[in-house]
Amino acid sequence: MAVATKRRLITGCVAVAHGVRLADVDVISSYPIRPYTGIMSELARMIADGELDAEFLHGAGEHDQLSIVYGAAASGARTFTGSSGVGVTYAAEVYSPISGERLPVQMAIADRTLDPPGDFGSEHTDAMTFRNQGWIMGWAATPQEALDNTIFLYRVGEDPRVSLPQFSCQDGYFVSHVADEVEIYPDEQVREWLPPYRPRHVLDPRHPMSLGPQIEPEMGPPLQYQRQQAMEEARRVIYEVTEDFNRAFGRNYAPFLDEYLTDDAEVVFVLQGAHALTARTVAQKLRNLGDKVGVIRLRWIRPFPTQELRESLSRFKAVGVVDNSVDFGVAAGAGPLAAEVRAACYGLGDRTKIVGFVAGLGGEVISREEFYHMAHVLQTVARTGKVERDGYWLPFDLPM
Amino acid sequence: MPQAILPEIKGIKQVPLEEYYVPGHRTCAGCGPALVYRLVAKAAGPNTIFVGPTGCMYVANTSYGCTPFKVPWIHAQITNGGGVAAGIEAAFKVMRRKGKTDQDPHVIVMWGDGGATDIGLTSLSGALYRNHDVLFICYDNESYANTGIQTSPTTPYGAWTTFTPAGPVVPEGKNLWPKDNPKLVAGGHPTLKYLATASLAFTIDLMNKVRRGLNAQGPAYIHVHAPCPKGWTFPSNQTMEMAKLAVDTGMYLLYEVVDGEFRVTWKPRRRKPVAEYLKAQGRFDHLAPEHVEKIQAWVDRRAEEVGLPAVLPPVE
Amino acid sequence: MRPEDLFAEPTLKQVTVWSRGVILGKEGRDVAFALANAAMREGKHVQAFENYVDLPDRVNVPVTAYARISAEPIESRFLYENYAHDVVVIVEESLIRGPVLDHITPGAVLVVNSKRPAAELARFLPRHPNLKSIVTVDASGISSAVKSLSGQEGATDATGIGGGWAGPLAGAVVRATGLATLESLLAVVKDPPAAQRGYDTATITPAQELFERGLGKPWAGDSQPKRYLEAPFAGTVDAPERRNDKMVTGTWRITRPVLTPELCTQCMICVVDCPDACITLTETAVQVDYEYCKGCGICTQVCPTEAFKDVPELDFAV
Repeated sequence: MAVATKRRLITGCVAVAHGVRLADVDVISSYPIRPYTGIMSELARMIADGELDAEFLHGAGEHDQLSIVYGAAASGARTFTGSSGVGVTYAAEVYSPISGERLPVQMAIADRTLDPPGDFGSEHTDAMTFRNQGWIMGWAATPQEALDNTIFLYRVGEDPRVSLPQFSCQDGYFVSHVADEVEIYPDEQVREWLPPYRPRHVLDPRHPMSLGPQIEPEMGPPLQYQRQQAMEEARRVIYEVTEDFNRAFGRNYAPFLDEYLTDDAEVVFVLQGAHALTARTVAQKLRNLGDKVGVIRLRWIRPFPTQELRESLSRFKAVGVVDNSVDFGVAAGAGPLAAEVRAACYGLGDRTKIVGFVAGLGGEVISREEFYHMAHVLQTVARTGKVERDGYWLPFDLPM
Repeated sequence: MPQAILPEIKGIKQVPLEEYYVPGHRTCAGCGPALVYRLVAKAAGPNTIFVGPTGCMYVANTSYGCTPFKVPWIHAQITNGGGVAAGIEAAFKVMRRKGKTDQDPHVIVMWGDGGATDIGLTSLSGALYRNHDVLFICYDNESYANTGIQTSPTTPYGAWTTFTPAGPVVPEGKNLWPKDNPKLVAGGHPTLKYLATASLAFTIDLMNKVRRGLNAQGPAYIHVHAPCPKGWTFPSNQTMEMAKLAVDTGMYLLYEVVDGEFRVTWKPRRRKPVAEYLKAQGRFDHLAPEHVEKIQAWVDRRAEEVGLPAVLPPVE
Repeated sequence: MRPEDLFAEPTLKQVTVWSRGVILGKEGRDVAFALANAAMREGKHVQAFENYVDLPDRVNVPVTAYARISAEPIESRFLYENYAHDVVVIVEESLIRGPVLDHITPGAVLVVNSKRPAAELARFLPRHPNLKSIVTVDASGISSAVKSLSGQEGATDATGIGGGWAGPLAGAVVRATGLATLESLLAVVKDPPAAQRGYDTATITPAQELFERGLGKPWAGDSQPKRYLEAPFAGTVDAPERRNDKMVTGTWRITRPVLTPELCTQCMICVVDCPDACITLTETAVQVDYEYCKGCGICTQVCPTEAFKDVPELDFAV
């Protein structure tokens, strides 16, 4: 459907701010930390200039930020917050209460490596550390997708079948700070596509209730099971909403697996976020040389696309999962994503070999050369049917 | 519902009979903080949202998935009552502005001393600083009581707790002097509209201070002395007596700060020796005379600051 | 084979001690620890613990402590509570009004700290067919209760065990059950003479004979175990109208505040000062909500005309 959109050259930070503006968010809680800070600066500007009507609160730290949106969402407001790096970890206490209360808060994370050392580079470890807290979670690879995901995630998270908070992640610097061409949709169109938040439970003196009472151990299982079921519901809702989003805004997003040159591929990379675009360029070049290399980009990892990966990956001889995060001492010596992909594919048989790569740590770019060498490892595995080692840390384990 | 100005309660016969914190909670028999909660809820009335950070007044009130709260209530972590309340206040403000609601409830945080003066101090200060229309009440039972009586910043010098047991090496038990949270709050928050200390010794004064705090339409803080029969080790029927002894000895001072103006709200005609207060509680059983003298000197210094009369010897 | 037979532990004896939070919490814990320590000296496998869900305990709330004693290693060691009670000990007599005989095993023994004869106590009990005997011992008359917060949450009790009522109570248990020898018990408690007196003065009365005389209340069968397969959305609870009916606290009372209406001036002080909102005005006086009153005694204390009296709960008919 053709719509009257505006095209602008903007960064991922500004794109998210436009998503928040289009979603008509009510309460925003901020606290500065690079590289996500630009999102909040842009939102503050929009409020000052009258482009957005929202309460903009300066939290006394990230923990306070998350606490503010917890209270605001429980009051029925649409809420937004965000952070990076150690800011994401400082807020840690409040993630589970928010998802446990089933409050559809949205938090943008522009990735940053955790200390030490004091490094401001991009790395997914900050967000990945909290992938088990009951939040929907996924990565945008471009500023356009960052804007789209902002709107998209409110619709999924606020769906009464789901009622879960969302981590809307983007790579720091690579997406957050590099301006790209972005279509900004008309306000009315987004308002129509994303109806106002209708909470399932809310603080209202006319209908008083208690939210978050203390329970005894026997009551724990059904409440945890509810959250797990909500995550499973989110899987179904993501399919519906993706289709609806693509139709309304003229996009072509895959629900979970964004596959590139995979039709007849022998080896594929599996990864999330911006580095997938570099992987694509390498795959294309290798195609020109006759090597059948494909790329699968994961749009969402919570809920994890278990069935989708099982179906897709069984077609290939070798799969390289590229982690941009650390999980020291993880199973099979690579990163957390590799461990989860392996777990998802357990039992598929011996045909599909999986190799884990940890790359781009500390904000280091994952270069095309590195993808080239990783592809070479995968091709050797595909040819010989033998996995020499489960995981490689780049550049140490794969000298070039 | 818009916020109405709550009138002064002129005498005990005017205390509202409606309950918003109803019978049926797992607080101690004779619990001081529970009575504080009940009186605060009465004074505030039905157009109120309570924020309940972790502590006795969370765990013992909504125990095992039930609730005694007749008005909306939400759990906050022990760390974050300020942030959660700020979010609620901001949400209603913006939703009213955008026409999404017509509700304008009072927001009250009922925070223990461990939360409000220790682990949640950043959160409290952040919310007071940001000019939210929220009333913060610290029910001060002078310990982390819910976890089984551990020292908090307001635990008095010389008190036994499970983290400050008295022994040959540490004869006085707790050997630090308490943090003065009202002073800390009053000293550095430019938008603070109302501050008071209150006590169960003066229930109507307590309710009126709650109403003044709510009527102030801005950040307000009330620190309430709330005797704890468990942690202080006294019989459960002595709760009101302990509160009274604390103010009669000058251990606890009652005052208000309204728009920056300080005013003592109650002066005893004569001050009782602090030993009378200490002797009534098991947590001070181990104190030697020199410890009691140190506490008396500390009380005298603070009483002098606010102009309370000198201690007279007890009538024999 | 049914799982309950497969997992049976024939040598395991489970002792459940009912007590009151804070004021008698240590005494309840001490009974369990004294018995377990005594049995340990005899080479038995033992466990002793407080009910984790009861903690943090509150003044007057009924709480339980447990001892498990077995000739064989205890396989059910990580159950939160005892679910089949061979011995039930009541540290404070008014607790007998509670569900103390729920899930007792055949031949179970009930030990009560009371001066009252077993026949008087039996009036408050359901006629449970498994109860073999009621053992009474005046532990309060033999020693003074020790009040201490030391030793909770898995820490060491700096005051030692068995210096108060727990000694005589454990003595009575040993006498009635032989779970350990008196010698072992005396070796582990802080006040051996008191434990010895408990042993010597315990009165053992066959329970079924009392029930056959018509004493006691009808037994409605043991309760069904709790299991939660469903929960309200996000655990949310609707506000109560008038009272929180899921937390009824009347069983917390040791003494009951009884009003002499003629002395009441309706001055409102007790109405305002009750932490549990249990006192309301009537046309001529006030009335106490005994379903919820915890018996803290504040009303009796603050009443300017001394219109209230605190009366022991067991002085009232069932």
